[in-house]
Formats: sequence, structure tokens, C-alpha cells
Amino acid sequence: MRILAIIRQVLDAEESVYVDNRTVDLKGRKLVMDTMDEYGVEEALRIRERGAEAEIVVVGIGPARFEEALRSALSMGADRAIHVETDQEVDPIALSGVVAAIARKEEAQMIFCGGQQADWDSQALGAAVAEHLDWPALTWTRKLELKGTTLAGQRDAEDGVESFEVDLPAVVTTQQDLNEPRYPTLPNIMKAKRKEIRRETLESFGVALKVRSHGVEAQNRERLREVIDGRDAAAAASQLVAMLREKAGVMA
Amino acid sequence: MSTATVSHSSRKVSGGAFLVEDLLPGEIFTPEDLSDEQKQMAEITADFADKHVLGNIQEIEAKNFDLSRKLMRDLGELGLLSVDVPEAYGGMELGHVTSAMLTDKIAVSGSFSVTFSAHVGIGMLPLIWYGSPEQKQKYLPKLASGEWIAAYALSEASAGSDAMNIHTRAALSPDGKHYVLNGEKMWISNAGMAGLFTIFAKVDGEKFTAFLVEAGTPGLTVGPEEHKLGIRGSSTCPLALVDCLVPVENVLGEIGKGHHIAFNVLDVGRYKLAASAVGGARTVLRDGIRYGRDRIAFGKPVTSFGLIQEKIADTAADVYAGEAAVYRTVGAIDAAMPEGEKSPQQIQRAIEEFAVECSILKFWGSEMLERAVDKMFQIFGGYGFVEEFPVERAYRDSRINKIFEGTNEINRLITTGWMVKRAMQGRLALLPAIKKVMDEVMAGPSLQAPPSGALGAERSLVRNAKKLGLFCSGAASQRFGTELSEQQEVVGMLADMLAEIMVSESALLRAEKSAEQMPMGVRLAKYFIANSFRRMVMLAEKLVAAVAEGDTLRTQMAIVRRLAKHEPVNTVALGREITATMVAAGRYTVEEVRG
Amino acid sequence: MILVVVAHADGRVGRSTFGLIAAARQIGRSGPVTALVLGSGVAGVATEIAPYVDQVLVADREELAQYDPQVWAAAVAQIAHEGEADTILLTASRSGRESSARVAVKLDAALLEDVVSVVDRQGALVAERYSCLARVTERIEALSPVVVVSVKPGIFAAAEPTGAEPGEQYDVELAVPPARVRVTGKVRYATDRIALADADVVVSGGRGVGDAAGFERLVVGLADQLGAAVGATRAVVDAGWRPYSEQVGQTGKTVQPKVYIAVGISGAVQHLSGMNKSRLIVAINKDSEAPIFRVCDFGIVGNVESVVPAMIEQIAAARLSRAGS
Ligand SMILES: Cc1cc2nc3c(=O)[nH]c(=O)nc-3n(C[C@H](O)[C@H](O)[C@H](O)COP(=O)(O)OP(=O)(O)OC[C@H]3O[C@@H](n4cnc5c(N)ncnc54)[C@H](O)[C@@H]3O)c2cc1C
Ligand SMILES: Cc1cc2nc3c(=O)[nH]c(=O)nc-3n(C[C@H](O)[C@H](O)[C@H](O)COP(=O)(O)OP(=O)(O)OC[C@H]3O[C@@H](n4cnc5c(N)ncnc54)[C@H](O)[C@@H]3O)c2cc1C
Repeated sequence: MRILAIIRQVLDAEESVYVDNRTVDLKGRKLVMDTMDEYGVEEALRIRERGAEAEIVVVGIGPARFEEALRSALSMGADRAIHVETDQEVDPIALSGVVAAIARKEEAQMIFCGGQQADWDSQALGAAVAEHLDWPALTWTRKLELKGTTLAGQRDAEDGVESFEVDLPAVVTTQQDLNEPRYPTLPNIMKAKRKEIRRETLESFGVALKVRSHGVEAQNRERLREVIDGRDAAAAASQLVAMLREKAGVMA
Repeated sequence: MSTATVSHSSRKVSGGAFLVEDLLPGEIFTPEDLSDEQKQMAEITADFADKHVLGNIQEIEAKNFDLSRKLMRDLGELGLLSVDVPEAYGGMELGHVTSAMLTDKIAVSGSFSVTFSAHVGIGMLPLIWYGSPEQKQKYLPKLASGEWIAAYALSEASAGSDAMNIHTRAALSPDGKHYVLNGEKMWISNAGMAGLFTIFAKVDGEKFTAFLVEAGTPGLTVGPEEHKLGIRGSSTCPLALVDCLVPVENVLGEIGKGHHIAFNVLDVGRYKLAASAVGGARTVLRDGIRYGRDRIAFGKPVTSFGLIQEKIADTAADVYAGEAAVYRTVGAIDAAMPEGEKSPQQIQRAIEEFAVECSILKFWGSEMLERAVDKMFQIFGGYGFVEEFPVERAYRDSRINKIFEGTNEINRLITTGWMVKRAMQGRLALLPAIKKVMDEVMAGPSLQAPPSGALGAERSLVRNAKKLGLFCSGAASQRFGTELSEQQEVVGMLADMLAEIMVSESALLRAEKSAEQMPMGVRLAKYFIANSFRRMVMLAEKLVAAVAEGDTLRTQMAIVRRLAKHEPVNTVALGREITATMVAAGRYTVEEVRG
Repeated sequence: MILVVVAHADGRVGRSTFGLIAAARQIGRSGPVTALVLGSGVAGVATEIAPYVDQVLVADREELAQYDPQVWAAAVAQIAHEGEADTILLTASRSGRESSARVAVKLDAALLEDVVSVVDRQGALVAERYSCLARVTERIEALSPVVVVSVKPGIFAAAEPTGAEPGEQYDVELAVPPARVRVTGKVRYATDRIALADADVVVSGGRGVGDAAGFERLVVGLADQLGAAVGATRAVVDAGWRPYSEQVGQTGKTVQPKVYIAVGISGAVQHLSGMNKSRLIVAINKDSEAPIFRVCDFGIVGNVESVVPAMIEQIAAARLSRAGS
């Protein structure tokens, strides 16, 4: 079996966002593998460690810097990587076509991808890839178990937790708490150096963009930040209650 | 994997060369030269430190040693405890650069850093370097996995700095199977959780010898935890040895050669202490910047005030120069190590070669950390003084660094003493260099064109700093001759001058090496060197005043002034620029970050 | 035609759908605003929505009883295609976002995801959305004539009835593919509280409330006094103290109330991204360094165990005295 894990590289959540010339300035900032995707890489590894025979291929579609994220995934234990290099911002629907093409060529049976992108806040990629391939998608999974070619598990639905079963192939989207991603060990970091990263160009996939971005604007709402000492709980509470009444019209 | 798998670009240089030679940027190792793999290791370690060390800091500080031990095992699983362990024993043997880098990156808590360093540094290195194959086979895997924690027991209640004067005795048992150890040890880091102790004792009261002693050995008692000012989450206990029976197989190295083990290990302990000080300073700088950025006074973030900005710039420049000095030294040690299997003598030689750098790093690094902590403390104002804020802990934790691994006084004495001794032995061209400077100043102003480039002025400042250092060494030796060691204050000033030179030059070379890609490095180096040179001149004046009088004093002062002549850099403006970037990044950075 | 996919539960139209209809009217594209009702036994839903739209398409089918994104997307795409819809609007709930991605692929259309505004500019749809964990607003433009739009709930004010005759209802024929995911069980969250997206005041609790009982006492207790909705952090949801439906943040709901009261919440970016658009943010936390204090308007550094009960008591007392006078 072959498992693809789609990964992206994004601004570390702890870094502040600075907008210049309508783009988020990444220069000198800490960039990391999107944590949402990292859960997918981890889960693929665990599926293999629980006994499934699988080759795990990580796929990144983005600028040259994505290679760092691909290396991290290889150090975690993925077998090889495919890097479709482009500086273009490709919308998730257009991107899904590329992923589907790779999945077909690689004859993948399972595709992992993060539930939501930490930069463009999109949740579309997993479902869109599944649609291209005419596969089912299990989104927002919180527990997975592979029995033969049947994938069982639990996922977060809008109104509760759903238990499911599905026959492979399938797309799976991942989120926090599905697992705790491992740190690469030092020996594995050294080993990853020799693993293959295949480079391809976006052009060879002939994608047509579906959405164009006109840039971003920072939204820094100034906050009052009036912080008081609450050791005298009653006094602090009454200050807060008064403030809610006067400034917010609550309990008016 | 040998050190060759990680890039290094350090030329083979001799120890102490920084004073008498002018190196080229390409000849030193800098943090920018770390390989992609090393950077990945650094990131993992830093992430682990933030999440699992800082994330559990209250527990750690409350001496939950089960937790500390678990964290050590976790590090062991990641391979982070086997960086110095030879491949033959399942280790990685990645070299001193990697080892220092991990020590640097783990340093977010004084307590945990001591636990870590006392294990991988002074704890494990005696065995790694001097252990027999059987000893290594027996103990290294357990230590590399973190299953056992290691400790190093040299100090005693009445023998700290004066470590050769230890009173613990060892005598061969009548059946010849054991050494019987009697005595006590004091201040032993990790003692409360250690599985293996390297204990130094004198066989028959005279032959300084190291012993590997397992916890639980009859006759070995670990005393109660000390109640400490800082690093409260680390374990520090006395040991009592009452007819403690240590099997003869557990003698480490040769009988009577234990002091080599003790001191060589300390050299490494010293650069590691500096690496950890640099990491600690970087952490506290981040805390200070983040607090200051959010703290509003007079309607503005306090980081917008010049006097606060100056503290941030000072500390950032200190961290930059500290990194430069540490990585340069470990890079040089790696380059001096022979490839492949190394005998204890080869290791000893390579490390001893850089003993002076290690001592400088120890005292300069610990004092740099203390400055950093104090400055960042000030940004916190009153909040810095209460336990809820990390800087309160950092303030208490930093103090120990000036005490252990050889007090800063002892390391200053070693620094100058080593230099003088090398010169006397003719192994360091100090005397010709001094003579050259003397001749040069006597000959009057030279017409040498100032070096060009973004850091041309700094290159000539560092060159002049060296001349000042050489001149002062000459002046002091001229006055005191072999009695110099009796003049500790002067010896101390010379050590401080050597430190300024070593660290400034490291900053200079580092910045030059990456000047094009890294304009921030150029700014930080300029800032550091400008202030370092000011300190240098003050030291020179103070020294000359202590060694000369009358006409000699006037002549020597004229020389000092001539060597000190330069166009000063506006460090106020430069400092503001530096701070703006650090505040935008919310941490120390060498990149151009806007925000 | 502008196709609005109606979200419904328990036989009622979901509130967010009225926002979708408002968005459809403001978009500036011609053609009837058409509601699409998919499900089983949904006649009541169709009748409820009819007064708000120009026409209603109903596919009342047994196979649609259970929501399956792949099946629903196929149905939406087929109807959009046959009806030559150029704009298809869905609610940007998780399930809505999942099926909208599939619909876009099926129709070879652009997807404008989770938008807070959307309007036609010379034939091209231009929208705004939050990105980078809701720290920036991005402007995007669809490059295809047919566009699928998922609209962030709680942004558009609910549409009023058209005032004209209720929209005509049509039954539609569908080729429904079989569902491939077998749902083998479901634990539903029960909640009878005011919905997060609709509330003027939200009281949210984090791990700092101690345990599930503490949450009930402090957070729900305060919300009751204020007539507020209840929110929770991921940590609280993961601990099983509260249902996922109450989670606020990157992987939960996004809220924009007039007042957001954070009780024992540290203020991780992933949480902030779900509430940083609130008009007024109040924080109660014992750690003066907690990041939440950097984004709050009013904060109390103190123990929730003492501050919150004092608040509850004072608000209750004020209410009593007002009732008495
Ligand atoms: C928390 C902690 C952990 C420690 N961990 C370990 C450990 O793991 N293993 C271990 O073996 N030891 C350890 N030590 C011991 C430490 O190395 C010694 O405390 C240190 O070497 C200083 O020795 P001392 O305390 O006896 O001071 P002293 O030697 O009594 O020195 C007192 C003062 O006199 C100065 N002084 C001494 N001699 C001279 C001189 N010749 N010229 C000028 N000044 C001089 C010193 O610099 C110092 O300022 C630890 C100590 C502490 C506090
Ligand atoms: C990919 C990803 C997605 C995520 N999505 C979300 C999301 O959608 N929503 C979300 O909320 N999180 C999300 N998270 C998790 C997020 O990073 C935080 O872990 C989480 O928000 C923390 O919840 P908390 O504030 O309840 O807990 P903590 O961070 O543990 O904070 C508890 C706070 O309570 C305070 N406290 C404790 N006791 C008291 C007391 N007695 N009185 C007053 N204060 C007290 C403490 O000082 C502390 O600040 C996500 C994380 C990842 C990696």
C-alpha cells in the first residue's frame, strides 16, 4: 500500500503577522510544517507501525522553502518526498487537481492532509482531492484504525462524534489530538539526508487557477487592555460588572 | 557517524592564537555554518525545551525528579544524550559543535540545564574518554538512553577551587579486588538522581585517581538536598563514603592520572557552560522583549523608550558575540580532533590546546548571562521581582554559573597563566608579538591603510585591541617578571582584556563571514566591538596605572592613547536599529525582521 | 440562478441559512434566489424557507436522510448544473465547507471559502475572508463564471421574507450515488442553549475552571445570569468537559459577539482566531502573563474561583433589586 501525506510550510503560530504591500511578510520569521498536516504524517507512520505494509510518500506543493518541511517529514520516518515547486499561490481547488494527479500516478490508497491550513485557513483541500478521485473523505478524524483494507475510526461531525467505517481508498483529514506527532530522532535526521526528494514543476501538471488573491490587510483592533488586580474579588467583580453595564450595555 | 558528516570550515589553529594572529573569516566556524541536519536538531531541541521543559517548569522547580528523569529519558530516546558517545557504543559521535549546540538550545531553565549538562558533560565524558571498552560497554548504553543519570564528584567541603587538595582516600583491599573509599564530597550535581558517579580520590593519600561508583554501592550515601538560591530544580547533595567498596575494574583511567581526567572534563564543562549561558541569555532576552512590547507606560510600550532599547541592544549584541565565540571554539576543537578512533591522549591534547578559550568562555559567558538577566529584569520593573515571572527565576539561576566549573577567579588566573606559560615555553609567539607592538609604537604613527569593507573599521579596532592586550602583557611582565602571578588584580585585568579580544574577534569574523547575507550580523558586531573596545581602553588605563609610575607611566599612557585612537561609532543610533528588529521579531534574531 | 443550499436540523431551517439568503440578495447577480432543500421528510423545511426566496427546489429522498458530503455534493452539483446556477451558496459550517469543496470540483468552479463579504464586480465575484488564523483579511476573486461560495455564519444579518408570494416549490429528480462511508454510531451533543453564532454575549471557559463541575458552576452559571451563550477552549473539549459544538477557535467556531468573556483561558493563537473579532473582550485569569491579557479590553488578574462567584452574586443581586423596585 502507498500512503501520501500532503504537507505545507506555514508561519509558526507563535510568530506575529506583519503585513507589507498587501502580503504577509515571512522574511526572517519562523516557518514550520503546518501542524495540522503533521498529524497526518504521524498517523501514516503509526498505521505502518501497527503492522500495515506501506510506503509513505510526503508531497509538498509550494516554494523552494517547502523542502525544510519535507525534510522534517522524512526525518520523522516518511520514505520519500515529492516536491512540486512553485512560487505561485495556488488555490486549494486548483491544488487538489495536482494532488489527485500525483495520487493516480503513485497509485496511492490513502491520502492524509490537514483539516485546515494555518495560513489560508482553508478546509477544502482534502474533500476536493477526494472528489477528483471519486473517493470518500473522512474529515476531522480523531481516531483511526486500519483493519485490512477497511478504515474505521471516529470523526468530529457538526453535532457530535461519529464512528465510521470505510473501504480504502480514502482521503483522511487530520487535526489536533488525533495523535501527538513525534520528534525526529537524531539518527533519523542523519538518515533522512539520504532519502529521495523528487522535484517536479507545477507547469507539468497544467493547472488553471480558480481564485486570485488581491492581497491581505492586517486587522489589528486596538484593545483597551485595562487589567486590574483581582485579589479583592468582590471589588474587582463589581468594577467588571459596572464596566459591562456602562461600556457594553449588558444588563442595562 | 564521524564529525566529518557535519560540515565544518574551521582551519586548524592553535589555542590562544587569537591574540597573536589575524584570522580570516573563512577560518572560523560560525553558527551560520551549521548544516541543515544540525539546524534541524537545534530546532527539535529548542522545541522540546519550550514545550516540555518550560511547559513543566513548576514541577521541575519543585524538585519532581521523576519528571526530570523522564525528560532525560525522552531526550535519550531522541538521541540527544548520545551526541558525544562513540559509534562503537551505539552513539552518534557528532562532535563538539553539535554537542555545544544542543546545550545551547536546551537552555531555557537553569535547573534543567544543570541536570542535562552535569549528565552529558562532566558526568559522561570521563567514561567516554578514559573508560576501558568493558566499562563503556557496561555503562554507556544506560547513560546514553537516560536510564541512568551521571554525576561528577570532585569538590569537597574543604577543597573546592583547590581541587588537588581533596581528602578522600582510596586503599586497595587486602584481597586486591576492591578499592576502599573513605571521605566526603560536597555539592554534587545530579547526586539525588544519579546511577553512576565519577568520584575522585587519592590512592594511598597521594595518587589522584578517578573511580566509577554505582549508586547503591555499600558505603556510598547520598546526603540531603541543599536548599539553594537558584537552580532549585536541579539536585545538589553531599556524598559520604564510608568504607565504600569499589571493584578494581571500576578504576577509571590510570592510577595517579585522575587529575587529567578531572581537568580535561572541566574544560569541556566550561565551553558547555558558556553555550548554556548563551542559550539562557537568548531565552531571557525573548522574555524581556515580549514583556516590554506589551507593557504600556505613559501610553506607550516600554520598548519604545531609549533606555529600555539600549538594554535590548546590549543583550542582543552580547548574545551574538557569545554565539560567535562559543561556536568558533568548538569548531576549532572539532577541527583539531583526529578522525576515527581516538586515544585518550589525543583527545586530551586537542582539548587542552583550547583550555584558554574554554576558560575565557566560562567567565565571560557566565558574566554575560548575568548582565543579560539583570537588564531584562529591569524591563519587567516590579513584576520582575515576583515569582510569577520567569525573570525572577532566571536571576536566581544565573548566579551559580560564576561559581561552579571553576570559579571565575580561578578561570581568570588560568587564562592569563596559561598564556604566560605558553609564551615561556615558546609555544605561543607572544614575546615576538609584544616586541613587534613595542617597536611599532616606538616608531610612531604608521601609514597602514585602514581595512576596507563593511567592517573595515572594526577590523582595525580588533587589531588595535590585540595591540593593547599585547602591550599591556608586555608592560606587566616587564614590571613583575615571574612575580606576575602574585599580582592577581593585574592578572585579572589581562584575562579580561584577552576575553574582550577573543570575543570581539569572534564577532568580527562571524559578521564578516556572512556580511552579505546578514546585515543584521554586521550591526550586532559593530555594536559589540565598539563597546568592547571602550572597555578595553579602560582596562588598559587601569593596568598601566598599576604597573608603572612617573615618566614610564606617562610614556605608557601615551602609547595606550595612540593605540586607542579611533573614530567612535554612534552606538545609540545603532542600538535603536537593532532593537527595532528584535522587537519586531519578538525575540533575538540575526535576520531582518520587520513588524 | 443563485442557488442557496438550505441547512436544516430536526425539521427546522438553520439560522445561518437566512444569512445566506441575505448574502445572495446583496451579491448583485441576477436570476432568482433559489433555495435547495435536500433531505428526507423535509416538506416542513421547504415551506418554512419559501417566503424568503423566489423559488424552492426540494429533493425529499430516503437516501438523503443521513448527511453524507459526497452524496450531497453530487446532488447539489447536479441541480446547479441542470438549473444553470452561476452562484451556489452554502453555509461555511464544517460540513458545508466539506461539501462545497466537492461541489466546486464537480462543477469545475472556483471556491470562495468562508467569506465575510461577497459581491459581483463586472461579472467576477470578489470576496473577503479572514486568513492566517484570522489575523488578516484577504481579498479574493473568482476566476471562473460559476462560483461556489461558503459563507461564514453569523456575519450577514438574517434576511426578511420577500413580502411577495412564497417561492414556488418544485420537486427535483436526482441520481443519488450510494454513500460509501458507513456511519456505525454517533454520540450527539445535546445543547439547548442559545447558539454561539447568534449570541450578543459569550461566556467561554478554559482549563482554568478546574473541571467539568467548575465549568458548569462558573461558566454556565455566569452565562445564565447574562443570558449568554457558552463557549469553550479546545483543551476543555478534549478533556470531555464540554461538547465540541461549543469549541471556539481555529478548529471550532468563530464568534463575533458584543462581549466575549474568557474565564480561565490562556489565549493561545488558535483560540484567539475564533474570537478576536469580538467587540469587547474580557479576561479573567490568575496568570498576569497569560497572552489573553494582551488582546483584552478589560482584564482581572485573579482566581476564577473567587472572582466569578462574586460576579454572579452581584449580577443576581442587581437583578433582584431592579425587580424589587
Ligand atoms: C549548585 C552547585 C553545584 C555544584 N556541582 C558540582 C559537581 O557536580 N561536582 C563537583 O565536583 N563540584 C560541584 N560544585 C562545587 C563547585 O565546583 C565549587 O563550589 C567551586 O569550585 C568553588 O569551590 P568552593 O565552593 O570551595 O570555593 P572556595 O574554593 O572556597 O573559594 C572561595 C572564594 O575564593 C576564591 N578563590 C579561591 N582560591 C583562589 C585563588 N587561588 N585566587 C583567587 N581567588 C581564589 C574563589 O574564586 C571564591 O570566590 C557545585 C557547587 C554548587 C554550588
Ligand atoms: C492545530 C491546532 C488547532 C487548535 N484549535 C483550537 C481551537 O479551535 N480552539 C482552542 O481553544 N484551542 C485550539 N487549539 C489549542 C490551543 O493551542 C490551546 O492549547 C488551548 O486553547 C488552551 O486552552 P486553555 O486556555 O483552556 O488551557 P490552558 O492553555 O491550559 O490555559 C488555562 C489558563 O487558565 C489559567 N488558570 C488556571 N487556574 C486558574 C484559576 N484558578 N483562576 C484563573 N485562571 C486560572 C491559567 O493561568 C491558564 O492561563 C489548537 C491547537 C492546535 C495545535
